[in-house]
Amino acid sequence: METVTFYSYKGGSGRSLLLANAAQFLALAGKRVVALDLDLEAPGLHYKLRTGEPAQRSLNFIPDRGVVDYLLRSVGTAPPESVADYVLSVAMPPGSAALWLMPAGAAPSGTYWKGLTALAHHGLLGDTDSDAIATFLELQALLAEELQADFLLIDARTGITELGGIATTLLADKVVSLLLDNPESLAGTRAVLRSIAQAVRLDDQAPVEVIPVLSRVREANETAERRVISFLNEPGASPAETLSLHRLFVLEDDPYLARSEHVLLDGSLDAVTSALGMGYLGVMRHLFPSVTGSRANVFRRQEAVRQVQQWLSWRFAWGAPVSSGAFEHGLRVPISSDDAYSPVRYVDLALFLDPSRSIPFVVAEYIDDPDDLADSDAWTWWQRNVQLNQVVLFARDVDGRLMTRRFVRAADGSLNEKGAESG
Amino acid sequence: MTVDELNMLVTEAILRADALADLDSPTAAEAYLEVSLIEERLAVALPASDVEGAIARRGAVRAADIAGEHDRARDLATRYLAEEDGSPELREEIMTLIDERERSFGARYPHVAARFGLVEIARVTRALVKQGAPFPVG
Repeated sequence: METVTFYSYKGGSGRSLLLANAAQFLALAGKRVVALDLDLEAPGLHYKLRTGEPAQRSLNFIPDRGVVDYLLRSVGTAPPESVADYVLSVAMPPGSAALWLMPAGAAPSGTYWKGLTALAHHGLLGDTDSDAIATFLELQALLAEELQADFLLIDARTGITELGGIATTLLADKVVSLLLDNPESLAGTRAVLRSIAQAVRLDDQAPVEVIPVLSRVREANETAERRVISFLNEPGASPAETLSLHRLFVLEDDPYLARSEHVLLDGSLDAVTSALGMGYLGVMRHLFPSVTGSRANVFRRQEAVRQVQQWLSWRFAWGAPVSSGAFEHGLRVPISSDDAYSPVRYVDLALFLDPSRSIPFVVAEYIDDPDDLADSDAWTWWQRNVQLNQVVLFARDVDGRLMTRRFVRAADGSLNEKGAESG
Repeated sequence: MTVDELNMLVTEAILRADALADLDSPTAAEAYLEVSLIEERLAVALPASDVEGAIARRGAVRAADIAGEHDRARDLATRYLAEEDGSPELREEIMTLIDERERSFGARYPHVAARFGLVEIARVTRALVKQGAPFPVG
C-alpha cells in the first residue's frame, strides 16, 4: 500500500478537495483506496466523500465514529483488531474499486470534541512516545491488511502539529504540499518542506517524496510559477536543508468548486475542459503513474455522464434548462420507496424535481460494457420504486458514441422502454 | 567515583525518577535513563556474582526499559547475559524483563512489531523527542 499525505501550511488551499478527487480518481481507475481524516481539529472529509445513502446525503450528516473513537479504544490497551466499525464505504459506480473513508469521528458534535480532549489528555494525538507512534503505524498497517487497500490518502492538519508531523514524516511515502502564493504560505511551507526532507524515518522507509502544488491561482502564469519554485529551492543554511524541487503543479482557482466543494473527478463535470480539472489530472498523472493507463475509462464515463446530464436538463426543461443544482452524482437510491429497509442501488446521476429531494424523478446508470446495455435488467429493480418516473441506462459504444435506453413509468405503474437511442 | 558514592547517587536518582513518574512529568523518562546509567557504572564496578552487582545489572536494564530506551535495555541485557559469573536466577530475570516488554509490545501492535520491532520504534521515538518539535528544526 502506498501512502500519500496531503498537507498545507495554511488553510483554504483546497487540500481536502484535492484528496477527495485523488480518491475518486483512483477508485474509478480500479484501485482500492482508503481516505483517512487526520485533520482532527477541523475534520470535513466526510462532506466531500459521501456514502450516497439517503440519510447521509444531508448537510447535517455526522458519521457515527472514526479515528478519534478508534484511538480512544486504544488508550491503555491494544488498538482494536478491526477497522470495520470505523470506516464508511463511499458510493462509487459499479466497476470501480472500493473507496473507504475513515472519518475523524462524529464531528461536529459535543461528543466528538470531548473525545478529542480526552485523547489529548492521554497523549494519543501524536505525542512523541512509542505508544502514540506505534498506534498510528498499527492503524496504517491494519487499513492495508484488512481493506486490502492499494492507496492510503491522509488528510493532515495544517500548520505545525505533532500529528501532522507523524502523518508527513512517518506514515507518508509521498507528501502533496499545497501552498498559496502569499508570503506567509510560501515561507511557512518552505520551512516545513525543508524539515520533512531531513525528518527521521523508520528502518525500511525510503525518503519522502514531496510534490508542491500551488493552488487557487487566478490565472496560470509561468513567471509567478518560476518565482515560487525558485523561492522554495533557495539555498538553506546547509545542503541537507536545501530543497531541489523540479516541478511545481498549479491548480487554478474555481470559485464555484471552492464554494460547493464539488469533487471534479467523479464523472460529474468535464474535467478535460476545466482548467482546475486539468490541474488535478496533472497532479494525478505524477502521483499515480501506474494508474494513468486507466484514465481513458474514467474519461469515457465522465464524458458520458456529462452528456446525459445535458440531455436530461433539456428534456425536462420546458423552455429553460434544469439547473445543475437539480442533479446529484454518485449516490445510492432506495430500490423501493415504501420500504424503510429497502436495499439501495448506485446511480451515476439523479434528477430531483421536488425540493425535498427524497426520491429522484429520474435515475441514470452507466453500463461499463456497451454489449451489456441491451441485456441489462437494471430497470426491473426500479419497478419497485413507484415514485421514480424514469430510468436511463447509458453506455458508450466502441466508437465512443453515447447509447441510451430510457424507461418511463406508465399509467399502470410499470416501467416501459421508450426505444433505444444513440448519438 | 567510588561504589559508595555511586550507591548514594543511584538512590537519589531512583527516588527522583519515581517521584517524577508519579507526577506524570515528561522528564520522568530522562530521570530513569539517569538511573540506568548509574546502575551501569555500578555494574562495571561490581562483579555479576556479587549480590549488589546483580542488583545493579537488573536495575540498569529495567530503568532503561522504563525510560523507553529499549535498544539500550537490550544491549545491556545481551552484555550481562554473556557474563560467565552471573547466576542462573539473574539471567532468567533479565531474559524475562526483555521478553515481557517485547511480548507486550507485540501483543498490542502486532503489525508494527513484525515490520519494525520495538527497538526501531524506540529509536525513532528518541529521535523525535530529541528534535523537540513535530518537524526537525534546522
